[in-house]
Amino acid sequence: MQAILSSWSIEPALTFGLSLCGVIYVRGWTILHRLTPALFPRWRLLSFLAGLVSFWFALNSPLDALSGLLLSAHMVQHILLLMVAPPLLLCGSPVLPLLRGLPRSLARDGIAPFLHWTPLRKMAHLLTAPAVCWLLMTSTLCAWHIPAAFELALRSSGWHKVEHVCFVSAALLFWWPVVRPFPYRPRWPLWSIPFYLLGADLVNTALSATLTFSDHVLYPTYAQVSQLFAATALSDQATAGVIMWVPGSLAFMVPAVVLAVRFLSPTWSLVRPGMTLVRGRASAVPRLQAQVTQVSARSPFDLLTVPILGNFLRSRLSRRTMQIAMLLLALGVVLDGVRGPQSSSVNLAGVLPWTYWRAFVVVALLAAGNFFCMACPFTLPRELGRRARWRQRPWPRALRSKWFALTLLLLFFWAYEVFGLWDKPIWTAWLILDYFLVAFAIDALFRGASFCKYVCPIGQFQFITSLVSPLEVKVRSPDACAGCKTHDCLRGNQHQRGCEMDLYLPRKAGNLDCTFCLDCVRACPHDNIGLVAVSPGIDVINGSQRSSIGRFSRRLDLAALVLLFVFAAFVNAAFMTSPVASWKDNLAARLGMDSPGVITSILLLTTLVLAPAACALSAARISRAASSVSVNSRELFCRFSMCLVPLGAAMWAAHFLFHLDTGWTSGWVAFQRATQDVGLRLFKTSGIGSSSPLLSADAVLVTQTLVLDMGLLLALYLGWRLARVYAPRARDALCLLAPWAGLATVLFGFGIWIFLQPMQMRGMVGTLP
Amino acid sequence: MKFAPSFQILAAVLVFLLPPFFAQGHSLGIVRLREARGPFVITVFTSSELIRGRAADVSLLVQRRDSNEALLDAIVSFVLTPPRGSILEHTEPMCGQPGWGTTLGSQDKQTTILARREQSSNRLLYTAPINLPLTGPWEIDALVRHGADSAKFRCEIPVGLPARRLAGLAPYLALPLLFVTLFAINQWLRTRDLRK
Repeated sequence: MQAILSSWSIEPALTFGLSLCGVIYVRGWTILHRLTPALFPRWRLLSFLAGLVSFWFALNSPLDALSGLLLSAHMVQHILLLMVAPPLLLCGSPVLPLLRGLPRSLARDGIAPFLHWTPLRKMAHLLTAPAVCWLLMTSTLCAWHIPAAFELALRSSGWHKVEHVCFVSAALLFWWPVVRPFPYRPRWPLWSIPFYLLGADLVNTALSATLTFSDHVLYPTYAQVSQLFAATALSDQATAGVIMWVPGSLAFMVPAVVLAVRFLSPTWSLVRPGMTLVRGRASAVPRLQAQVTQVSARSPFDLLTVPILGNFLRSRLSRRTMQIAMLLLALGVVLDGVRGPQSSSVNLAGVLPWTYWRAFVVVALLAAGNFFCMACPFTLPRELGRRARWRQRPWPRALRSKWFALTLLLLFFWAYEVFGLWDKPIWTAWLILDYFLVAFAIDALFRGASFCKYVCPIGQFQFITSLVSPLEVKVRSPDACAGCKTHDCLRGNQHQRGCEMDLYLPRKAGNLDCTFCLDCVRACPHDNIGLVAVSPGIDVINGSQRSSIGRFSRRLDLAALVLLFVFAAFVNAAFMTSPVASWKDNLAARLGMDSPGVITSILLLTTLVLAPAACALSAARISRAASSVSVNSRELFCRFSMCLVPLGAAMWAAHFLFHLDTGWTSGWVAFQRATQDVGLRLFKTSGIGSSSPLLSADAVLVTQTLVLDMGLLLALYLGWRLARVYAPRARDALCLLAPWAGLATVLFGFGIWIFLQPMQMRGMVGTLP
Repeated sequence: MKFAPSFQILAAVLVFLLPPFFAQGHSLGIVRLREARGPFVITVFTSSELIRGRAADVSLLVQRRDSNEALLDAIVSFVLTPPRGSILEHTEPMCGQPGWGTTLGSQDKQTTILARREQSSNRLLYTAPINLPLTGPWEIDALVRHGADSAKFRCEIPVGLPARRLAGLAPYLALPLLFVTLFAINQWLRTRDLRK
């Protein structure tokens, strides 16, 4: 029984999708409940959430695991999908809350045009006709219980998924005329619905009777499988029939009786969900419509206004606490890297930076913002340097661009591949130590945050990824800044220093160069700066003059940095695939080289410098030639390169999530070993460093593909929006976009190829010494 | 925002296209062997189609012969023997992905892989993720030990060419195409509405 109860198969896509539905619904319901509590009472919220939970339970719980062994378990799963989850979801009157819960621009610009499209409206009208709904449900039920179809679903996960999709879709449509979720206007009179339900129950009864009374096993797979709980396949089939018959019939009969009673009540014709009976007149609908349309524009979400968390982030101490925690971790990594065993899988220097830190940083950037820079321990030496009171000078004018940092980032990628940094804990330790020393030296000698802005390769990586972050440090009200004379956010005051990255908040746009230090928040005397939600990536479209950055169209160094970031995402992942590794080794052997270092260097130079430059320059030239827009190629190169950021970020995320998934227990193993080494025997070690991954191989592949899908789609969307800035005519915009879309698609295809290859593991698996 | 009846219906239909999209279906695959020997009854499951070079699970249900009770503390391993006449390079990976499975050893072209319940989403089954690098009929010997009892079961599984390697990803690869098409229609509708 314990084995059965622990047989959960949690699907990330399903869980994420349902959670997203839940969040959107709750958001919309909260607004509507505030407006009309009578129409959207709490029980609707509970009903919808219960529907989502039962849907999730049916597909992730041990029921799903048992469905291949027991027909009765399979039947319970189908009952949940057909007769429990759909009516519960519909009782939540989900249409308005879901529409209201979506971002306003998405509902207005994305969905509304479809809602007014005549062919779609006609199709929807046809599909929601009660007769069609009834036929769809009963035919789906009958078709999938035919032995050949049922067997097909049992043998193939793909067909099993199709079966479930059919069931859920048909059930949602079937229960629609029964539940009549607001604001649905009934197309059949109420008296007809009990007959509608009784008709479906007849079909259900016929099917369940066939299962119950059959003298042979209808689905041969269950006859082949050894029976659990000492049941025979035939008795299991009979049990399944009874489950389908009794609870199934109840699901049809109870609402039929409720509706019949309602029909027989004297005020039946006036009662609809949400309507109030005012002297025999139902009047709530028009009133609600008016109220819903009068909802005032909401101010965007601001993380700093969240109780507790907001105060924590604002506090000066909080950043210092996070930095000290990271510093301690860094010290642990350095010590273990120098003194511990030089096997990356059991060394903190092999595991913490390369398995955990990279993945968490990218996930944090894509889910929230640049929180690593906020907690960065490398900036602590800056404070020490200041206390030394050396004479600080401005950063050399010739180096005030990203070229220097770009070169360092390129060198880092080269060293990572050629020297196998991931597999050399001592090198990792020295790298971290050097980082501290360089940060100290630069920040002690130069003013402001020169190290972060012009040198730090990690910082540049974060800045570029943060272009697609959903949070941004931003002024709340531009009007409040208009009257500000002191500019404390930039210059600081006697209590708080201003922005060391030279970002003047009223003219700051996007996250580029922002370290989330929140000094500006603390310095602003008007409390006018927040950590505000923004549309991820949309800042790339903005071509205006930015504080301390200038215009994107004139920043060739930024475009080059972006291209390196994007291409490195694919190259770094490709180098860990077996075919690329073997090809590299074979080529080195054929050329008579002892090690593939030279080949790797040439390949990196080609793929990280020459190929990005050639691809982007060609795309810019083709864009210009194909469209009738008068923009120079350099501007197109600079602007459209930025649109590739989401694709690069998605590839990095997919790559790092793979490592996190396969090596998620390695940190624990390394920690056990490190504590043993210093004489602390806190844990009873198992001796095995490897373990099963968090997700199955298929689930990882699907998750990676979905992440890359999202990256491609956002890149294409941003490209389209940018193209429309230059070309009001759709045809010109398409011509501008086409070469860049082609480049993004080729990179996407390359990414998929990488995911399908066998991977080399980089220090993830090992055995305790 | 106006709530014309058809608008409401359509909104609802569009909204409810979402949950079915996320509907999942798992299958244990097909039964390769069901056999009673000694005190055990075992059932071997694999994916319906095993493809060369693609990770797949081999799962085993072990039950007591007398009571049909599932045994959860047995030691199960699979010995994989490549098709006769084939040459298997020593470096060929046999586990689904490195880190996914525990290879106990390999000799005389045979590889032994430990199957564990923790590797299966269905905790009644002992599962080993494998990656068979050659096409043809592979022999799988399942060795089951429980206390003093042990038994060996043999079955043959065919491994095919990776022609349909991308097939499993097809729905996810079609997503960008679908969204781009929807976006194109959206832009066309918006332009048309503006013109009107």
